[in-house]
Amino acid sequence: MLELEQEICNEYMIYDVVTAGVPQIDENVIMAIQQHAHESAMHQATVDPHPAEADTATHRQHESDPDLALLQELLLQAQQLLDTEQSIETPQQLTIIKSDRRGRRPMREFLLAPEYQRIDELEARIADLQRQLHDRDALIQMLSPAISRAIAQQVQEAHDEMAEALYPVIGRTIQRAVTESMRDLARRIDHMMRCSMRMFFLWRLVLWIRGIRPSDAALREALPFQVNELFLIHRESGLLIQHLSASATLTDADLIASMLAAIRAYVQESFLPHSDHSLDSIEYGDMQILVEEGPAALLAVVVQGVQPAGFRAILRQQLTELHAAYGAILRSFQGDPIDGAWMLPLLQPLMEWHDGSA
Amino acid sequence: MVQRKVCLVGDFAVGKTSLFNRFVYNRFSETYQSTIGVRVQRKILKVRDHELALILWDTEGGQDSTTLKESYLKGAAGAVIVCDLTRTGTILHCEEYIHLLRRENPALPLAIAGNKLDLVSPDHAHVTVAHQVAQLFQAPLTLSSANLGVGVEQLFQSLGERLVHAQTTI
Repeated sequence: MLELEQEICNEYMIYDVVTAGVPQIDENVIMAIQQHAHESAMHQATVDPHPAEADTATHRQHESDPDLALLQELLLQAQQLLDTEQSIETPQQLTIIKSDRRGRRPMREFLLAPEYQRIDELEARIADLQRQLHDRDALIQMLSPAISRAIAQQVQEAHDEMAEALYPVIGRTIQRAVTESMRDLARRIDHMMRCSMRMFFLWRLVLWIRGIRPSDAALREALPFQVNELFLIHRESGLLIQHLSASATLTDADLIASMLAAIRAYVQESFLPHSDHSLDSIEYGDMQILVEEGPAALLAVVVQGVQPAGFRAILRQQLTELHAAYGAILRSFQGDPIDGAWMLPLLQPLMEWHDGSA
Repeated sequence: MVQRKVCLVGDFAVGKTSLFNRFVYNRFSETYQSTIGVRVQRKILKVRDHELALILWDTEGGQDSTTLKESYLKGAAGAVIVCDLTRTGTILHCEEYIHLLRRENPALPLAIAGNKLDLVSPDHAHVTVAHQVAQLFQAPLTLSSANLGVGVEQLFQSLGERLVHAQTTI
């Protein structure tokens, strides 16, 4: 009796699973079958009072009960409704499934096959995404189109904000590019002046009479050149000996002089340790610091614009004259303030170079 | 104004930049940032009736004095040798720095800073060693803590006194 109840329960269990995936089966039919199966089981238990013969009776009832056969038939129909690779062809196959507890597993797999397939696909996609996240190139390749589109859209929608944000970078880049272009222009003018003698013959004649080199004249007309600051720096200590400024707004001249000396020492020690060469210019934006080295002092000038030809030679010449005249004073400088009036005749013309008077 | 170049030298992470920052800006940072090359700053110091513009060169520290770039020391009017009171090696290396600095100018005014006093007690064995080194090479020792701001002004003030003294006796 107990085994029969267990059998019925097992069948209900399988039946419930099957019907969960097959909603078109009439629920009244299912309830009728369940009710009948239960009544049959109870009746059999009343009629057969000998438990020893229960197995034989159950087997007979299982084979002869038309309702149970109907239930099996319904299960087969439900199974056929499911689009699975395997299907139950005969009641014997169903019996095998029912009698084996593990036999329910294939049924579950049949029922959940689409979900399993979907899980497999999702796992594959997650694995692929994880691989792309760890692979920088793949990540860039994946994100680039979206970022490009976002930037393009942002530029279109909020170009003022974008321009404002990029101005510090673009402005400086443009400024540098313009300066470079102007330098190229100056070089081209210089080249033209050398090559096309006839074209500028009269003009060159005038300049020659005035004692001005044609290339210098063209350059000065094309670009402004100005010496903004001049530092005379003690070579060993980096202390400031003399400072001249075009604007007179620089307050940290002594600190700047020491920084220049420190940069020079650092470059010398790091890049040119066994060389006679030293740092001779520093460029930033459209400004340049030209450094000329003497035995006791350095001359550093901050210039703007294109450096005229011969300017470096003039720097060297003035520094040489300064050493020749005041070498002992320069060498013995220890940081005490000195009256620099004596050196102004040699340094001041360098500050006025921009107007061509030097 | 009278300018004087003063170099800060010593092994790495002894607190040269911390002393420099405490003296110039009166600030201290717990974050250690190694100096690359050299940092230069100016500080006006009043010594008696004199005003002195100290041009401080905070040099890059290394394992010992061999890594110090000698061109940084040229033309220095004085130097501060900094050691870490928690590391004996940095105290013993003071001797090498003293030799290096006095090679070109035997009369160069020097000061030794025994830094990180906040991490050791004043009667610690390392402090005794630092005193012995200072006595041996006749360079005054100042125990300092850049973290707490202890001894920093005193360190540069005493060096300033000696710079002014050297100036007036020339």
